Amino acid sequence: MARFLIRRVSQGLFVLLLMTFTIYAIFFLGPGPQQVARVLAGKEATPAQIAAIAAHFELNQPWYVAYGHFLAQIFFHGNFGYDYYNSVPVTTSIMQALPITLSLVIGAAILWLAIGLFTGIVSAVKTRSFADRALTAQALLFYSMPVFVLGLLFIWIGYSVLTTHGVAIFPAPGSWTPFTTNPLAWAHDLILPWLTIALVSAATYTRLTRGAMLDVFGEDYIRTARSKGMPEKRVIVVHNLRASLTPVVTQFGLDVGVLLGGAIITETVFSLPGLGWTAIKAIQSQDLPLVMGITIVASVAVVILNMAADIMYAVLDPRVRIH
Amino acid sequence: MAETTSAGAGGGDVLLELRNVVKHFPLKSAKLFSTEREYVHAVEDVNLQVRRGETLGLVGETGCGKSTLARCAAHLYPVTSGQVIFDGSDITKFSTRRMRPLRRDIQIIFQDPYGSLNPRRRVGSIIGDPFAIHRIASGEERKRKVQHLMELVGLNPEHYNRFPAEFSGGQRQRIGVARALAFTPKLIICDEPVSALDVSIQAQILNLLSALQSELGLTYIFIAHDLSVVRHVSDRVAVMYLGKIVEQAPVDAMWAHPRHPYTDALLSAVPLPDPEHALQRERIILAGDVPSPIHVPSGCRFHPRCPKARPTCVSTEPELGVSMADSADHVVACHFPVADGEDISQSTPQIAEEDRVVESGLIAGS
Amino acid sequence: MSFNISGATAQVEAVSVAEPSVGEQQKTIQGKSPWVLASRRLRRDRASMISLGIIIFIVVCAIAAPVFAAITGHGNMTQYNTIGRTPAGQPVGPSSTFWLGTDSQGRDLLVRIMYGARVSLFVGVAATAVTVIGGTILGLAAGFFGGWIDSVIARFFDWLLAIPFLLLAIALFSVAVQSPIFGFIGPGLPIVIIVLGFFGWASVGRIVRGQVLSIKEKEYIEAARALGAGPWRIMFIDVLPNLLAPLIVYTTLLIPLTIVGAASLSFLGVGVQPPTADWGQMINDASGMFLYGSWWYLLFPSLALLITTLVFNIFGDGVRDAFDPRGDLYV
Repeated sequence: MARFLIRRVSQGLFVLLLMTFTIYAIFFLGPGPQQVARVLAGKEATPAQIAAIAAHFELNQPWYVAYGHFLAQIFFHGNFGYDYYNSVPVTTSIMQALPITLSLVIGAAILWLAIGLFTGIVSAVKTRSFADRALTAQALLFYSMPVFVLGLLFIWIGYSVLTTHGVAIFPAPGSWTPFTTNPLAWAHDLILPWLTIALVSAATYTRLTRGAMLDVFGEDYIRTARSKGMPEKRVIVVHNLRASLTPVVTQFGLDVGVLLGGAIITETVFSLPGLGWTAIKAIQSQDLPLVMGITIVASVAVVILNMAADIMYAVLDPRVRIH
Repeated sequence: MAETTSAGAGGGDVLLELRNVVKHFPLKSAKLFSTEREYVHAVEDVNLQVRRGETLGLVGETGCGKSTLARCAAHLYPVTSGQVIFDGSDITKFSTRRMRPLRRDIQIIFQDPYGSLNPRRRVGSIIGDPFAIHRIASGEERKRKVQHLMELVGLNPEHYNRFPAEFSGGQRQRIGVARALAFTPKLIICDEPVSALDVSIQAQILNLLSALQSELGLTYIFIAHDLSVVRHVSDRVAVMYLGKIVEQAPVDAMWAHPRHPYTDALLSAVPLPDPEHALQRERIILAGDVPSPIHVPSGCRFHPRCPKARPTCVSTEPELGVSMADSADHVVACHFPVADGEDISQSTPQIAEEDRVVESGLIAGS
Repeated sequence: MSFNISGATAQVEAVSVAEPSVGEQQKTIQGKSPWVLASRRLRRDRASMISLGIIIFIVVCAIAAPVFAAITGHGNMTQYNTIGRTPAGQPVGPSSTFWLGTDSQGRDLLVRIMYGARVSLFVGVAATAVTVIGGTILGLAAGFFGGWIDSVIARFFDWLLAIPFLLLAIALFSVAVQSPIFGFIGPGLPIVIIVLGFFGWASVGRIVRGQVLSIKEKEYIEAARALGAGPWRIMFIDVLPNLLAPLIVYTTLLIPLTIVGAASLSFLGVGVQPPTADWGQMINDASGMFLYGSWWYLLFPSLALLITTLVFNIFGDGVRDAFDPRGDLYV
């Protein structure tokens, strides 16, 4: 197991290195060094600011030196550069937006796993019943629904229509209460965004769980367990679920990137000032240091979560460790 | 090891000779930073001759290396060391290009009738593959040749366009035979061709192989683990254990006078049709399992399980040689061969306890 | 991109064939190829057939968009500032002139939706093609040749999968707006197709690689080598035919994902640029408006997108089931 961990972590670090280099290449290597500084400084930069940026990023050095410097700045100093457009360090903007995105993403992930697993299990256990058909159809529908369409529909019906008719259950889009201020309001503000991400993503997991569990039900060891007189609930939970979880975990590992994408879109739709929304605004205003900073943070998160998923997978399925 | 060219049953000159063939498969290192390599000793220093026109049976338990040996002989695996001399030339040194024309002379019939045929190709295409690969015939001519082969093995030539899934197991094996026969090869290696078939179908396929041998003058290496089948088809038999040949003899001699304790044990396990005879016979039950080919026992590889083991067996590896008063083509690798009438189920091993019955090894790093 | 696809191999029903009897007909009997069996199963699946019908309808609409525009007399880009807008400058609702109403610029919504179908279908097919072709080549090379080629390609896939797709698309877009990448890839349709196509390589590549690896172990590959077949012949004649079924299934399931992906990019403003008609972009525009009552501008493009995605998914599921009725082989 230790060997596996070492291998997996070093693999993750290698990919991280590749990725930071890619991001670096996109932003810094395309245009020439002068262009880069100008671009980074934003449209309204003074020559002094441009020179300052060039110095800060060591742009006049050979690219590998500049890259090394870039890496060092980020990982050892936590310094992502300066956002000239908003006149704050990039780190500040990121830290402001982070709690929102985290709340959104974690809440949605929990919700979607719960919904997906639950509906998948019900579907698998009561195959071909009305419940199964309804849940499968619903999964197909939500699977086909783009996130932003669902979000907008929720806002339209959940907020706009209901509120104009006097039933104000859901808050206006853009409302945000930090968790520390008022947990209940925090959750209330986030319900629609959570549901938006969760329902669409859960659909995949419903289908996945259902399929995996049906496969496992056909296995001989399930038949043995039943013939030993094991109560059905135990069969489902102890034997079937454990085996069915591995494709779910795998899929979840792959889906981290999707989760991020969903978060970006949802934040935009609901006007929640998280990392995604900030990134989009940054693009529209050509604020490259901010875009770059957010991209790196997101990439690091993805790599770490992928690693975690792989390790979880190895824990669940011992066969993986003996490579 | 003497290079005998004596004529055995069906015997002509030597068609295929394996000299000191060794095949080791390297294992991925068990430790993270170690430089030691572990190997699977699949085939160890094998000497074998196959004479033109005969059927050489190759017997052994699963994992003894017989399939690996077959593939080395057909140059599908490169040998770690040793020579494979086919029709006078050492093919171990041959490049792929030089080997290609020879592939028409050495063919293999595989064990699995379901896995050895590509499910996505029509049967006519599969059987016609040799012609296509070697650019011998095409179009109508190829089709005619293929249909002729199909008739030869007992298939309906009108099923040329069917898919393998539409045939039964026995028929699929016939397809495999037809494919191997395309160029009337000099040597056909049959790798457990009937093990996956029902008993009644086995008989059909064996008869087919036998008929083809007389009609076309084929030479077979017949690999199997079922001794009754081997007895039925072979002229000579070689017994393998853990990568080594432990005994080799004409088939009747081996059944009448098994010299190696392992052979003796195998033969004692063959079911006998006569119930009285069966009751009388003492089963020789070997202790333990076959050891892992990664960590082979010292000296004679069989010593941990041998009822007759002595200290010599632990220290020294026996060479293949004639023993007792046998003829020159009955050789055995044993320090204390079994005499006629000796009942080794009564023997007790006389070696230290820790040399007895090595646990069968796990696959990786145990 | 989330690709939840179960790989498929053909499950051919084993038809037992009786031994040849005396006096059979002389003509050779045609075997039932796995394709014939699969298409037969597909045709029996009513949901898939209905979906196929709708898909064809959408394709027809896309192709016939200019014709429709000519018939109604409303152009794709024509802004009707008097009849197409309320006095307050807002879009007008569905009426006999504008069947689905107008958009924020006073353009005929129905006509724009039909033109939007062109973009969506084109991107869906083109990007999927890029993904499948690129991914297959890479997966084949990795699985077939192994060794260092495999290692390099596997690392490449890891890297690709680790990149947060949307963010990188956004990043690339922001750079492309400044100066076109490689000198010619500017913002708009080309970058969408390339980015969407390129990012799919990892998923397709991994699946293909896995299939190739398992096929390589089969005895019929060994048999081909024993016959003297060279590696290229084995790849094309023995390996590739066994890959086709899973690839086809994957492709049909990939198209709707690509369509949604492209629409999402347009929605965020990093895809197809105005004034080209595109559903995602229309929805984005509408999202600022519907709170003030122009519900049709939000609803109809959304419905178009939803229905298109849905029917492709249903059809894709049907294709998968046709090739793999027992539903085994989870990749």
